[in-house]
Amino acid sequence: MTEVRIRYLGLIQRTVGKREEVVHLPKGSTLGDLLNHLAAEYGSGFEEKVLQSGELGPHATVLVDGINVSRPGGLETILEGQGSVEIVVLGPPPMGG
Amino acid sequence: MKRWGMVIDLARCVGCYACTVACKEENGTAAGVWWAPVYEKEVGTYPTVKRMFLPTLCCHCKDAPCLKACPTGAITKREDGIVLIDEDTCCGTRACVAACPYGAITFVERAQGEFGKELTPHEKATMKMKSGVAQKCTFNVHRIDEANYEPACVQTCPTKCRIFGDLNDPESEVSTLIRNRNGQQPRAELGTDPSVWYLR
Amino acid sequence: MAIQSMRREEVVEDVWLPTTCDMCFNRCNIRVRRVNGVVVKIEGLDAPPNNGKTCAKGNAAVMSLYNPNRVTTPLVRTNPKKGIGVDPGWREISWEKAMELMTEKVGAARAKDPRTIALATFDTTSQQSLRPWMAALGSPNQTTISAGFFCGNGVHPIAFAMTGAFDVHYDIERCNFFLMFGTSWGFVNQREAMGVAQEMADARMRGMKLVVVDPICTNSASQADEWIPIRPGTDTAFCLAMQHVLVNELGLYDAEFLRRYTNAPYLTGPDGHYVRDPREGKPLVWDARNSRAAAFDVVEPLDCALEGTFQLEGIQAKPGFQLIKEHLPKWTPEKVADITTVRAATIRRLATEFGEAASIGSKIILDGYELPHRPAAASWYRGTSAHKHGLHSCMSIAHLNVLVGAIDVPGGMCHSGGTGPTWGPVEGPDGLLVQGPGPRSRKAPHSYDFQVRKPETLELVELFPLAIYARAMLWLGVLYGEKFGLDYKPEVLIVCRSNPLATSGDPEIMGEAFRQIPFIISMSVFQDETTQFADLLLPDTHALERLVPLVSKPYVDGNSPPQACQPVTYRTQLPVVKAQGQARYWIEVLYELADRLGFRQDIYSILNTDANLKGPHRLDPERKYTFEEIFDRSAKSSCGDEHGLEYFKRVGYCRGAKYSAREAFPRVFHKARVPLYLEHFLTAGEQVRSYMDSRGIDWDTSDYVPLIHWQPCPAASQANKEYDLYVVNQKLPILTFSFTAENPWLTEIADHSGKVYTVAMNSATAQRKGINDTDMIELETPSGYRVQAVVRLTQGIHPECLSVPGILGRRVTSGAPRSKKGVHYNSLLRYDVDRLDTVSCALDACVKVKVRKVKSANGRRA
Repeated sequence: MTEVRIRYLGLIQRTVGKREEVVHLPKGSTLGDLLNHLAAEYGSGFEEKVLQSGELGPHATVLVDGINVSRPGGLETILEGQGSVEIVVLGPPPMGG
Repeated sequence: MKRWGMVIDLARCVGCYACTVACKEENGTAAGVWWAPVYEKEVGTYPTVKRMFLPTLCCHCKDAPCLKACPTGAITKREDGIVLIDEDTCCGTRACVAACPYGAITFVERAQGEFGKELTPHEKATMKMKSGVAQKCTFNVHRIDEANYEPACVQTCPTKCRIFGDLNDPESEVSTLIRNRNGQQPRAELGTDPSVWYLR
Repeated sequence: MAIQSMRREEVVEDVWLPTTCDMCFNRCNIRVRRVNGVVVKIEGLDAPPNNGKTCAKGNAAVMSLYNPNRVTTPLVRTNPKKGIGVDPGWREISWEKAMELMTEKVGAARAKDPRTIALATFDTTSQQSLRPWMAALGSPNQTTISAGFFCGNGVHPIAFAMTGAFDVHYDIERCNFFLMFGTSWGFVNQREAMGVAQEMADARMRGMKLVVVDPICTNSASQADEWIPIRPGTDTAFCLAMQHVLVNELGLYDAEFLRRYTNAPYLTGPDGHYVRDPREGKPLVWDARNSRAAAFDVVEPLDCALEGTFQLEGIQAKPGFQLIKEHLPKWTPEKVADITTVRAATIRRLATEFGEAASIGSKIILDGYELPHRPAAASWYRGTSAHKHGLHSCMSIAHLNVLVGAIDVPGGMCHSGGTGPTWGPVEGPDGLLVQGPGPRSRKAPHSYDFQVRKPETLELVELFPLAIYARAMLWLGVLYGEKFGLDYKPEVLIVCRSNPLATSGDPEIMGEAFRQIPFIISMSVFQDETTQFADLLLPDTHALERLVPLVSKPYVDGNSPPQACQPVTYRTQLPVVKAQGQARYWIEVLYELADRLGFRQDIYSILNTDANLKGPHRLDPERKYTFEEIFDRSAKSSCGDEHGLEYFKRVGYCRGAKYSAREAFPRVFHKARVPLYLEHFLTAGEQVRSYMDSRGIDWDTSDYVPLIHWQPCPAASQANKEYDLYVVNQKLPILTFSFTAENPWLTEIADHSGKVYTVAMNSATAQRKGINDTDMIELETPSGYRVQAVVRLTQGIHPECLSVPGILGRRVTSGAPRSKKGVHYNSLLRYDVDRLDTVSCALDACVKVKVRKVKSANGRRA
């Protein structure tokens, strides 16, 4: 089993109802596996903010062991044992006029 | 010897008033006093209409009517062509105002700040607050003399429609533009020989 | 003592300090001269985006800074009654008391549900510092007001669809025919103002033909080669007629571009949707070479049929372009002449000139790349966005560029800055263009993956699947949110450097919405209509008094995206003078609030990621940093260790890279397609209708159709013919937002011009009505709102229009001279759900009034 320490920052905190947690996943799990697991647990609120159509949502940033993996292929990142994942969700940027 | 002059390209001017405000800020003129106003004129009949924008300022004429009209000698012309009013010598006859065919001279009846009697720190720092004198554009002579720096109105213009330089140098940008674009002096028929030229 | 008369020894200090201007959203690089602690001059810095130039507003900033009646102490309301013109009964309190009150109110709301805290600002310089604060607070409800009601609504969704970027830029450097609808881009207005002013002048002098279509002879129309007056709200019909001429009369369109880079060849069925491959679900095209239907991505693009009717297993299928061809004859120049009041011959001529100028098939070599050259482009902004059917209007203009292949190529409509050097559009669902990888801040909320669902934000943006934002809905959401399925109400509103009461729609409706919110905190430099509704009013710093703690990244932040071919600059705002009175920078106040409420650490953690703080420059959440320290780390992370705070204090900006031609004009380097046939509109409409039906709400979905059509604005279909004149708003280069009404230099010019505080009317129309120049007239809207003003007769306005510029006619100000002069245009606007463009959430700015003479210019009553 792989133990993953997850930290939630920003708008996702309210959706999952916590600031951090520890999740256990099969060895060799990817970030995508973790996010699917969390989506199954927390439902559509989590999906809307973090995982949309199998990709990271537009306002979600994910760091694995401090490295920003929010890019194509990032979801394939393998989660090492005792690794940390930070999920940051901001609101839509109020751009424009 | 240099002869300072300015070319204003009316084809490029878009009537944004950046020059008008830059002038005010640079020279610290009193409320209601503008040395570089832009005039607008509508021409044509609907739907074939245009609004023309005409930036104006003192033309620093070679044969300056204001200088000739002034009874106190408050108005002088430098060797480089810049015509200046010495506000300390000026006693407010307004002869110059009447003499100027370009309406470029303002008589400051009562110098006030924009917010009334109480001057803002900027106004305290920049306004000479003299009442009862005539004032006009100086081609920002202090910028030229201190740092060989062009006038504020030229520096700020977003479309680069104002060019400043030496009219006595045939290769200068101003001379070249006048030549290539058939520059015209305003009211040239009056014979004042202005140092400001317009391009269409 | 004036500096010119000062003796040397009296000048203790004479320095030029760099910062950025904040008089509009362009944030030009400026330098400010300070003598003995006083600002005496402002000039442009010779760096992009403004290249040494400042406009009238930038030059006049000093008069806003030194307004003697600024808000300088925290104030709390004592009169519980809130209304425009109702004295709040301000009482001065200490900052400590103010912070305690804010902590109590915001803390309580946050404990219950942080979403109930909303924040409204259009301080774009501070956006990057604010966003982590909002996220750590736990609220998605950050909004802007007038920026979001009228202008960008019809721009940004289309920019994303056509180029994958937030905004677009027109390559006028290489353009020969430039059409502008309802905008003054390049004439010291809207985005990239200073840079483009010069570009536009250069292009015109080079010989680019400029044609401006606008009800008013604006500054841009005045310098254009042609001004085409048009009835407001009919640009869609005009453009559809142009499209008809290009497609059906002249056959002048870039067929190769349509085949390769648009969904024009995608087959559609009788229901209007794509016909899809049953196994993989991909849209089909007709492979003309092999006489078969196949998925769009397996057929050679040039073999795709654009026209025809094909039988596919019982379905009659037509390429989207075929449907467009069949649709356009409804909009011939002859048919739209009466709608637009533009002669058919003129429309036909302009279409021909546009099509021919586009030089379809021509190429140009830039930077060693051979690229298509399409030196014809059509542009738009607020004038066509601010209508009930605004998105269709703007899309019909964009489609002119698509038809001639002038998208992301030299001479045409191009992405503006994208999201950075690694940005690039990619193929999304159905091969359609979506934003590619790059800094996340600027991603569109949804491209083709929208899902209408129960709203979670106050803005109810979930109900506008094709919009980028729904700011105009927010206040209606405050009033009627429950009806739409929103399960909470706002408890606290924080308004910063924004004046919603003056810059939106009917202030009475806005006031009503504001009164629903139990606690309002306003942070402002001046007193205005909005501060009057505040419970707590805090003195904000002027932009020249503040340090913005993050470097502004040119691709990611702000409203002035980098021009495609100019080098970018990293910028910020640095304090030039000390804050006046007890003024504090509102972001600093919010960060202190975060500290008191215990979420400062989260802000720092988010900043580390969002502001990309690297290595030793990352913030330790357990420490507390000054804004100087945060800025230093942010600048070094983005610009290198040698470009920290000390560097920026000296120089003010840091240059970034310039785009290569490939980055500036990416069209031929990727295969993603842009929508000419708006199939996704159908899908979106179905979802919206389904949701609204489930809640029993009557909602206009008539614009969720795949083919652009013109519909009249509600004002146009106004039954009572007494209301016969359209009131049109107009931007001016000397004024912007509402606060410039307090700037005496700018307002003095405005007054002197005679064109700003008066209402403009066509001379012939006035003559018919017995109205003379400088008479006093009264305008009255169908809902009974009346306002009086001096009329100015002009030839430069459509005979059916009146013009009321800017945001003037203010009711509450800090008392600067002339600050209340003029007519308040926004008061004329009905603000209701039925006046919203349900696609882009723009508020319809079309209003018709009746006019009567009140008093002659000579003083005699009418």
